[in-house]
Formats: sequence, structure tokens, C-alpha cells
Amino acid sequence: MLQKNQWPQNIKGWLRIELTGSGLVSFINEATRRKMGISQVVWISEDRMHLTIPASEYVQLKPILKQTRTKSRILHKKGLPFFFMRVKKRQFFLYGLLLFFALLFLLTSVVWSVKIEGNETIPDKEILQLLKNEGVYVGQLKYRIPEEDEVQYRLQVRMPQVAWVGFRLEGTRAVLTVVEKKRVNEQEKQESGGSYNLVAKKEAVVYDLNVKRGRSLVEVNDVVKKGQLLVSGRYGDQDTDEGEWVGAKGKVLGEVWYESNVTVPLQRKRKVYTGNREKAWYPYIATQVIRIPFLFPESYDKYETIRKTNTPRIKDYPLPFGWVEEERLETRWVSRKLSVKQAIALGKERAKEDLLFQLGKDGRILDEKVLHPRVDNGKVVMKIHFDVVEEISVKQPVLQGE
Amino acid sequence: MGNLSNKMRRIASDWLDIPQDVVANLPRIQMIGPYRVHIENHHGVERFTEAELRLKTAKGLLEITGKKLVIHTIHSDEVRVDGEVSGVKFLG
Repeated sequence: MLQKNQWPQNIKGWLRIELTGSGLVSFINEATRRKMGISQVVWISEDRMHLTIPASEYVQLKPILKQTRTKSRILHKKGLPFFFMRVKKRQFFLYGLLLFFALLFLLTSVVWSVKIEGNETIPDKEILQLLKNEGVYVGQLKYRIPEEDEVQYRLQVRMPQVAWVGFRLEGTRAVLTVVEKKRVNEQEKQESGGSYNLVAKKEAVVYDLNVKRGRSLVEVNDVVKKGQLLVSGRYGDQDTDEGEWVGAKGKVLGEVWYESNVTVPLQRKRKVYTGNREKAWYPYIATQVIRIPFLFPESYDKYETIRKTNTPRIKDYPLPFGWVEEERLETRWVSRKLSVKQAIALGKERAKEDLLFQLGKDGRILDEKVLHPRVDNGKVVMKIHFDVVEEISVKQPVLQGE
Repeated sequence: MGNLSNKMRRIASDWLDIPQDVVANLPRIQMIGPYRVHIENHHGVERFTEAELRLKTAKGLLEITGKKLVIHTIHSDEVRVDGEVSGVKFLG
């Protein structure tokens, strides 16, 4: 019981007092009788003593002092309550401390520099711009930067000439490590590309041959099967395995048929502007827009927004705050009915676009035919037949020495 | 009368094997080396200086002598004294 933990006492606070008088012993007896927590009683001289009492019991001290004719003097105050009182007197110091930590936190959560390593041919500026698009730039808050894996992946996609991208944050510095692909010399590639044949990649009718090197084995209007040899990469006799490898080069265009199923709804919904518009302004700091909810209420159900950022500048140097002007344009859904004829035309157009995209740059549509269109559940379902010319040749390496 | 009841209590405690300090309200003194004395069942302080502490007990005055004595804590029935203790003595 006597070995009390010091902690509660420190939280409640305690006083060291000096007592002077002739009845010190009776003071101790009286205080203990009243269950006061007296401790650390040190004898100084015949009529003087130092002792410690809890701060809360100071009021109880008075009657005992009177009774025993002793006088008290506070030597010092310790504990949390007194600490707070002192802190109150030095409020600005406390604010400064808090401000210091807040600033420390704020400044360390900002990217201060972006470093790029390992690039040989790609200019720094280009990579910096790409990084900026991903949200990594000087002045960006660190927590707004996406995951490292995501940045890596997205940069990898954006820069095909790069074999590997590593992104990491080192404190307030963003480091991007780039490993560029080893470029194969173009000329070397052309000269070495010896043992190639061109074969058909799908069944088709040969439409046109454009052979730059090699010996063509088919003619226009020949029907070829998938995998059939079109252009041999070696000169010489066809039947013997002799002759010099030169590598086949060229293009073989073939006529191919495609069929696509298209469904077009007759009822079409479209977004239109009603002409009503309203404007709102929001301030922003760094990259964080501060939305003031009741200042500019949104009065439209459906709308599109156009945002314009205004950044004040001092001599070309943008300040880290400004305001965003937001214009809201009210929109409305309008449904339009199509006639069957229009729907067919639209479906055709769409199928054509899709197909051309699929075919690539050599693709061309010779003829198209809409086969049995029918109306089903408010939709026009049809089959479209396309007659298409596209490149059918594909390079196939031949293992030499076989 | 008091003597008789004290006697009775002593006999009872012997008989029932109960510690005497519990039965007779006698002081129980615990000492840890020469540095600390822990007294239970005291009846108040009689005198306290740097070299001497006298406590009232049921068995008369108890004197603790030494150097640099400090009352570490004091409650109505318990005292802990720290310092260089040289003697614990009943003055009767």
C-alpha cells in the first residue's frame, strides 16, 4: 500500500511545502488522522520540515495549520496540472511547436524533385511530361501519387521503346529508373533477314501481288489456303532445294469475305444541351480543390461541367493556389426514332468502321451487301456481307540447313 | 482491567494460532537492511528529527534512531521510514 505508483500522483499534481512552527509533530498526527497523503517528510531543523502533499489536498491543509499554529510555504509545484498552467502562460510557444510539426509534416509530404535515371535516347523532358500526366511532378502531394506499380505499368505502356520502368519514392524525391530496349540496327535487320518465306495467313483469292524480293509461286485470282507458300525466299529451281536465300519481301493482297451481324435499336437516346448554364468558382490550394457546398448550389439534374483553372503568376512562376471556374451546362436526354432504312444505313456504317479498323492500313472494302434485315423487339437485326481486300501474306522463317 | 484483557488476547492468539499483531493491535515492524523500517499499527508520531523518530504504539513508545531519517510515507496506522537506521527500540 505504501509503494504506490508515482503516476497517479504526477497526473494529479503535488506540492512540496515547507512548514515552520513548534507543533510540527502534532501537525503530522492531525494530518494522518484526517487521512491526508503525506509523504517525503524531511526534518530540516527543530522548527522546520519539508513534506509533499497531493495538490488537491492543499485546501484541507488550512484548518490543520491553524490548529497546530504552523505556517506553510510552497517550495515547488509538480505534475500535470501545473505543467498545463505553465503551458497556458506560454501559449505562443506551444502554437509555434504545433506549427513546426505541421510544417514539417506538410513539407515532407510534397515531392520536391523528380529524378530520371538510365535514359539514353529518350529526352528527360518527354519522360517528365509523361510523369506529370500520371500525377508525378514537383509540388505534388505524395499521397496523391498513385501506386508505384500503377505508375510503372502506365509509363511502360506509354513508352514502348523502354524495356523496364521502375518508379519509387525516396523521401521527398521521386526516382524513375528506365531501361531502354537495345535497338537493333535497321540496316542489319534488312540484310540479315535471309531465310524468310511469305505464306498465306488465311484462305483467300489472290487479288494483287507486290513482290520486292523472292520468287512468287501464285498468281492473281489463284485460290490459296491458309499456310500456303506464296513467295519463296530463295532464287533458283523450284523443285530442288538449291538456290540462294535472299529472303522474301513484299505484300500479297487477297480478297476475303467477311460476314458481320449487326443490331441497331430503332429508339435512340441522345444527350442535348438545354441552353441553361451556370457558373461556380472554387478556390484551390496546391492540387486540392476546396468545394464550398452551399455557395454555388447545383441546380440541374443532369449537367456537364467545363472546368477552367486560373493560376495567378508572378513573373511566369505559378503560385500554388488559385481558383477554378466551373461552368455547368444543363443537359437533357432526347430520344429519336429511326426508320428501318436509317437504321440499316447506320448499322452498315458501323460495321464498316469496325471492319476497317480490324483490317489495318491495307484493308479496303470492295463490296458490301445487307442480307435479310428484320425488325425484332424494336431493333433491326441484319447480316452484312463484305467483300474485302487485305494483306494475307505473313513472314515465316525457314530453318536453314534442313 | 486492560492488563487482563491483554492477557486474555495473548492466550487466545496462542491458542488459535493467530498472529499477535492482529489480535492485540501490537506494532508490526519490518526492516529492510539498515535502510528502511516499516511499522504498522502505530498510534501517531511523538517526536521526529533527522536522527530520531518516536512513535506511539500500544506497547508504549517505539524509538527508531539513525541518520538522515525521512518519513517516506505516513498513514494513520502505517509509517515507512527511510534513512540509515541504527536502532529500533521500545522505550516502554
